[in-house]
Amino acid sequence: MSPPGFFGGGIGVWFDGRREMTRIFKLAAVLFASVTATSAATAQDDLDLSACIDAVGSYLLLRVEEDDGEERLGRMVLSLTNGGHAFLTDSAQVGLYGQQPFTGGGGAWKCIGAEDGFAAIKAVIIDFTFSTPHDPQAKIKRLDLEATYDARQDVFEGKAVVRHTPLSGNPFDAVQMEDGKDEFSVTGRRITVPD
Amino acid sequence: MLLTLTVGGNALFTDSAQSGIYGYQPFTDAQCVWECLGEADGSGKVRVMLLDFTSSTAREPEAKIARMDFEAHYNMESGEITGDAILRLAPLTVDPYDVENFNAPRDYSFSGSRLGFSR
Repeated sequence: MSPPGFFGGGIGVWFDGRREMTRIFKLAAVLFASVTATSAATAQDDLDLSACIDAVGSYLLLRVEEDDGEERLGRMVLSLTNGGHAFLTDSAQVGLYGQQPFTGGGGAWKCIGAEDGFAAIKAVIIDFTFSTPHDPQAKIKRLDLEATYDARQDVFEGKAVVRHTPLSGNPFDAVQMEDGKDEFSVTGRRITVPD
Repeated sequence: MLLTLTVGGNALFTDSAQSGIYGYQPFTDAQCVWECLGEADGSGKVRVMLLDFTSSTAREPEAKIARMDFEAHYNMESGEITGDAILRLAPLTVDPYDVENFNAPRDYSFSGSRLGFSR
């Protein structure tokens, strides 16, 4: 049987009694703390990365999207370093479902909440798309990820928002963003070196 | 190939063959984790696990997940690293820890040197 979080798993599959309720309450507490912190704080008030040391590592993530009743699966490897860098590799980089091909992504992550084995993080990851006959303009792609990692249960869950700007645009200027965005959820688990 | 091992245990990997040569599918950069198997007197041994994704080709239309396992010795004084790699491929949704669901492994050796601003 596949480990939890790999395929078709997710929030609904995880409900299995008191331990799971504890996990949900802790998750809610961390999320509440992170929302409170992010709404009231400036960037200087972000938690030190060391508060989210449990989140440092690499994760194999599953993305499930629905399009006209068709289920589209994708997998990603996300690496969060202890220096605050984030790297992303995606099985769809070749350009699937009419999307442009794109490079591996790099960026940064920060800790927005942490408590007793739970970490809440934000990451912004940038990559570049390639021209295609259907969509000839190469672009910058910005992916914003908000996620939690439960180190005790080894569950990573997050929501991603993807937006594009022209290649010479500023991906941090909302005015320069193209209309439209893609949103999807990811779930997965941390990767460890096998024995 | 370019292999990067971070202090925090992340591993990053780029390969000159990623465009898909010798009949193989194109594939993405790889990422994953590494661990120290022992170090003494400036030399040691590491184990690395890397995952990447292949893309469909006309000859081989099924996209896959690739798992690479490295075991390598390094010498800090000489900056040299030598090791053996095992490459396995499986359908995209396979659990990378279920080795029996991967195809027959391919082995190869590698050697290289550490990159720095001065040598």
